[in-house]
Amino acid sequence: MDKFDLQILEELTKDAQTPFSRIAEKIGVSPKKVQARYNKMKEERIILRSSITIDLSKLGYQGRAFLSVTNVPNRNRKETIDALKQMPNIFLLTEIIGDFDVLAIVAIKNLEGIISLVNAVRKLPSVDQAEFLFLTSNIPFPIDRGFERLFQTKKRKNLTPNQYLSRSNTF
Amino acid sequence: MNDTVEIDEIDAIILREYTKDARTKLKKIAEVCSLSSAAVCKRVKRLKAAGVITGAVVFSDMRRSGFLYPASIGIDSRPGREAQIINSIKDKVNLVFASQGIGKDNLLLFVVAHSIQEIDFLKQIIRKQPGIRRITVSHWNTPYFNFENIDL
Repeated sequence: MDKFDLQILEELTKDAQTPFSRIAEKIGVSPKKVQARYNKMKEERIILRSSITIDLSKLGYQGRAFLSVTNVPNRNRKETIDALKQMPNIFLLTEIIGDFDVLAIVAIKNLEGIISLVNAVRKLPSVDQAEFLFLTSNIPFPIDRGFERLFQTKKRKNLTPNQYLSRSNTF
Repeated sequence: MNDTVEIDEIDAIILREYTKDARTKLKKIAEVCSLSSAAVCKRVKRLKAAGVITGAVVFSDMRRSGFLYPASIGIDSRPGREAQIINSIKDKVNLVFASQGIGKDNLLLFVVAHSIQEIDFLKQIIRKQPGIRRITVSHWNTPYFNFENIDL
């Protein structure tokens, strides 16, 4: 990756729908070159995918939870991941290193949704322990807007703690 | 609590298509919905104005740009310490988001660090803050996107 790739990535992290012509103008190359770099980064799996971001609270969701589970020893972790992938409204999963083995992020519509999810997770034969942490911020999908700040070290320092917490504190 | 926005099946299709790829051509979405591009464009504008669509992001393999250690950090502290904890670390790491939590932890941070040492350094700083009871670091190893699973 060179500085052009990084600049393109920065612009797309801010807004994945930015026209290539605008990025081209900003970084001083041709739109064709931006397109070529974008395609190359996709091919090389530097860019994994893109998505719009949705405020799920506007669609009637009431919150989101981080579900951490430990796997039963001697059972394949993939088994847990595949089972969790099928559960309603689990939209992001990751293998983790730490106290738990798998972390899943789930959007919650209502209390019944939580209850059925908890019951379903407990029944999974490959799951040992399961723990929920409910987040009180609103429900950005698929991920919080904040990654663009990875590229902007100076601006980030100006954010106050309350801005971090209340950017979305409406739950 | 925010006011909710009523959406119909066509809006849902638009949201799903853009969730698969934010750069999908308007024309292609119009075909899927059997509508004109102008009609789809109008709906997208409405969804943005109503605050349903808040932006668009790309997901990159952060390891390739040097951010080797994405991690979530759960913190159990005495109540009211959240702002102070964020203050203590926000200039020192790439803090992507913070949220208050209900459950075992009352604060959850997501950071992207360049090294294990950076995460350890961070942990030490947090530990020095008054009122900390427990810090749990989980390094995000292999993420799986499962966006299609959301009921829109």
